[in-house]
Amino acid sequence: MGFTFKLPALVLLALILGVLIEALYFLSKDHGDKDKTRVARALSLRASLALILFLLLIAGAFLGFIRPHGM
Amino acid sequence: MSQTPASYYVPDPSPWPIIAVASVFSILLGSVLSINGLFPGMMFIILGFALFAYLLFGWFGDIVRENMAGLYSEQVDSSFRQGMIWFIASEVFFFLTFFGALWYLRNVAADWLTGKGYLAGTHELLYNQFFSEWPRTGPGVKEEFTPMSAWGVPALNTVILLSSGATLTWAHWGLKAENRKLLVRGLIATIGLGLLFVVLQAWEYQEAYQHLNLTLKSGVYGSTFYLLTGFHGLHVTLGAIMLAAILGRSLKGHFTPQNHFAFEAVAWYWHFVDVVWLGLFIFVYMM
Repeated sequence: MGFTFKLPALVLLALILGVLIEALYFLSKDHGDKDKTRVARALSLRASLALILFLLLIAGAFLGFIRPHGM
Repeated sequence: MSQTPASYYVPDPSPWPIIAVASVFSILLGSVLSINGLFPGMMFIILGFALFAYLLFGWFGDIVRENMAGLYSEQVDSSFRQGMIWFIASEVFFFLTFFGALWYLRNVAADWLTGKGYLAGTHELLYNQFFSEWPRTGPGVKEEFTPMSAWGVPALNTVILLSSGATLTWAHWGLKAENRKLLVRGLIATIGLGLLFVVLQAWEYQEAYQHLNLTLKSGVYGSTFYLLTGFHGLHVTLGAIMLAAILGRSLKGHFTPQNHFAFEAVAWYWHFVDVVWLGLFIFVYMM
């Protein structure tokens, strides 16, 4: 995998992990009357970022920047 | 739900931890016997899984009944959330260990075995004909194999899991908006996609064994491939079972926009399993 694609892919993966941890923090804090939509919003962002990462990987493979083994 | 109690609820002595140990013991004993080709192995495995199903049904049921009877104070609620965090911490380290093993084998141990780095002497001492190539069978393995391609079933499974993250988010917002129809439909779609993922993974394994000659014996690549993807598949299976329990509770109307920790804990777990898969897709299938 070339650096051009490795860097944004790793940054996106780190962002996804960060948002997931943030959602876990909200999950531990928001309950009862204090409940908000923070967990749902963070997990929605997580799902969207994952989709962007996958599209980036597909684009990288299509444009020849990524050559997975087994190909 | 009734009034929140002031005291901390302490349950009666429970048989479930003992049944949990018995089921795990039975599964392990059955696996050991099966690997050695002994007859009662499969019987112990089936018994273990039956006990495990009984355990999940019974233990989940007890917790749900206690919760619906209003026995839990806000402090108990916090305990559940802390328990969830510790459980997730153990899961994170579990997967980190496996990803770490893959990284270590490819970037550290392989160098030493090929005569690089401060333990370069390993090359001469252990096996001086070793050369590093990924995906590789390892020096002792004679049979050729084809590594699993990232495209085809793995890419399709990535689309399936990403879609399941979207349908679960759909259900989540349905719950928040008190739209039970949306909640139930979103959960059914998520469980369906999860089961489809597991079925396709089983098919992928069958293809790997029958047509690619990629087995657990295909050197360090084969063993890490099955270790990482297999344990992830186990997590998807368990996640789907937990989502099915949440679906049953949603149908009974157990959740309100203010009180739905069980839903959010399982939803978070599913998103976690989804992210682990993305890691697998990149580090096991692509790199």
